[in-house]
Amino acid sequence: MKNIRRFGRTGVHPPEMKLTAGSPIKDMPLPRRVEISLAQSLGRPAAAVVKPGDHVNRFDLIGEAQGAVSANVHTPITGTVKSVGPIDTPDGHGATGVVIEASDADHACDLQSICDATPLITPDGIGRLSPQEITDAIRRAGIVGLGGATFPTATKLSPPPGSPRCEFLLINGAECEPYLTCDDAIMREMPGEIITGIEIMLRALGDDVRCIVGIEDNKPQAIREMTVAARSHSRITVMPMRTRYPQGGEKMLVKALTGRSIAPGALPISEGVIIQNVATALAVYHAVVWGMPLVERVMTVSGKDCQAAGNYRVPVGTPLKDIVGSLPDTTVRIVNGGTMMGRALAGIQGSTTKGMSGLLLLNSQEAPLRDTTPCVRCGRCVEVCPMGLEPYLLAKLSQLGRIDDAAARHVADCMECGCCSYSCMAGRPLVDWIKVGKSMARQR
Amino acid sequence: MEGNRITVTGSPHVSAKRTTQSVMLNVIAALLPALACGIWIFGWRSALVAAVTIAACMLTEFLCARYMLGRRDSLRDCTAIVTGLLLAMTLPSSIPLPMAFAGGVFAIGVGKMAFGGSGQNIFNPALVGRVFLLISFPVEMTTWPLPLSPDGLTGATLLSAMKESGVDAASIDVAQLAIGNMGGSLGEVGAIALVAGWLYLTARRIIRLVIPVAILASIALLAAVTGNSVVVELLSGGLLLGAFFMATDYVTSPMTTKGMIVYGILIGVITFVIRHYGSYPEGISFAILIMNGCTPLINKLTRPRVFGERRKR
Repeated sequence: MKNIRRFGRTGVHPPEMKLTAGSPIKDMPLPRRVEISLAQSLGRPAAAVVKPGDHVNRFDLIGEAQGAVSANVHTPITGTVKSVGPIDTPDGHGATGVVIEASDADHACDLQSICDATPLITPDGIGRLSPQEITDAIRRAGIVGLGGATFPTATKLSPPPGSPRCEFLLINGAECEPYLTCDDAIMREMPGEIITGIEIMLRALGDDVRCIVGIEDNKPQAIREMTVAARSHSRITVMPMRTRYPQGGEKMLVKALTGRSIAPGALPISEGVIIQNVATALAVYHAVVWGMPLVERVMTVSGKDCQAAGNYRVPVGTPLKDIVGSLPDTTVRIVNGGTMMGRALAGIQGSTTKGMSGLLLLNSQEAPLRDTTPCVRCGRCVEVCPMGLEPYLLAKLSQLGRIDDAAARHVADCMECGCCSYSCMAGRPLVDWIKVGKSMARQR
Repeated sequence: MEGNRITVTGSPHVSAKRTTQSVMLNVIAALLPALACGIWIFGWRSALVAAVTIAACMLTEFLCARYMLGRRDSLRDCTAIVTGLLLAMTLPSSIPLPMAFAGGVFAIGVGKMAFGGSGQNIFNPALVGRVFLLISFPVEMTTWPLPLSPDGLTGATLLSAMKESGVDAASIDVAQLAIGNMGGSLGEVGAIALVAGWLYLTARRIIRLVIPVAILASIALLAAVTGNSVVVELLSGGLLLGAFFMATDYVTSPMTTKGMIVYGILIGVITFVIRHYGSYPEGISFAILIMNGCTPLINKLTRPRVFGERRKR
């Protein structure tokens, strides 16, 4: 394929480990008890609008957005609010959340409502919606970027006045992280729904906006299905991209699909681009066509020794224990997300969130602990850094507390993709130090 | 408690398989054909010299790391073995063993540990050791055993013969140069073996093409422009050994591709100038050491461009 896209010659290609690539999406049964964090977006946590003892119906609003980077939170089950207050979260920090329990009657009622659901609009009704109606519906539904950044989608779709004109809507189907296959799964199984979601977003953005869906070439079936689904839409193009991490990163994706480079510190809109994840497009479809708020997502559970490995449609707030059961004896590391940027968890605690795309149970071969030896200045970190930084130097400057020097060398531009640490032959935790430097530079 | 065996670290949670140790073992493997060639041409004393320098380097590294830096595991990354082996390869096989030992001690002790050990040194330790010996023991360091000569006769290297006695480059048999049938240090002869080792390291992506190609291309160009024989220029002396295995040392060479190009070209130019206009017949060691000293400056001047950064007008 000669027209295949790539972002450049940096980055790395870790073993893909897409163990669940062929697995169909399985529905997690509706849980009888959910613990829903109110911090489901990049911005401030939502404010609870329910109190203990309240009876709530499936899809009811339980938390109200606090500002433009905050998002509404809804309940995936009918039940009684048991508490509003501190709950466990996977990362162990805890958060304010709402605990809801379903009685047998509530549960039966939910199962019936799932069977009875009917769409609000027909596909040709999209053209009759105004952009404002669409962004309002998306905002009401509490949709956030499902690639993991959890930035509210409605805010992204309505750039502030004075922004450059949006020319491209880029749909991120790169899924460049090892292990994760949830985006692959929805593209294989629900390409039509995703394309309709894209159509809705295009309607909100304006008639002159074109859409490019970027999918890495290790997902040939997803590329085929999406291409077929997009065939009747002249404004939507599906482009295969050469598999290379971190192609799903915002700036890398824009470079690969449009050839444009976003300046340091700038947003994609500065180059006339808005990016949404494929899973976000699917959520938009559900919100606008079915009137369904974001109360579930597809996530990957994986790991060589993980019995429960697969792609699951999981209600937000499902306790992680319900998903994986007990840990395999060989698990030495639990990761929320992918292995390159995901966060290690101390145990199976807390419940799922909107931003959780994967839960990995890794054994000691998959996630070996490495010895740290002195840096031998091999330059590999500089060679692979997609942002053109000097990770060895930034790590050292951060370590020495020379934050002004680190800032002058663009420490703030690091996106923490982990290519440097991944390829470091001395096993040095470069990203960890750079993260420290970044946060110290931010406090200045 | 399930939590006891769960590790929590920052991301990423996977890493490439390569370690400093595995890289150094690969470098050692890549040097073995050239060492074997040296043993074939100059006899088993070559192996003895290598054994002595390696032992000296490992001992010095261990003692300095243990008592100066308080580290016990510094030998594990195998860098001391590489330094010892590289040093041996720059020595005449006839060198007295105590001198070889002293060279190893100086290479690691002054060339590396004095700067703080692995990764901290400015100059290539093996070359520091070689230049120390060259200045301290000029006679022993320029007495070259004749190739394939069992009776211990000694003679000049090709470069010194050309420089001092006016041997005509056209009279030299290139095929003999390629297999190493010439006077010289025990590891610099045997171009084919050196090239084989270099190709191996390049194919394994342990070193990049940039530096060796920049050095060889700039020398070849200068030789062609000044009317010298390009082939003899490339195959004689320690050029290949230096360009493939010493100029590419991670610690002392630049970090960026741009920097590597500058560094390689300047090594080539300096080598050529010393060979043809300096008082020494061979210049690659000095050229590499001079450019080692310039590496921090090159790193500073050849920063990679930050993604999306526009050129200032």
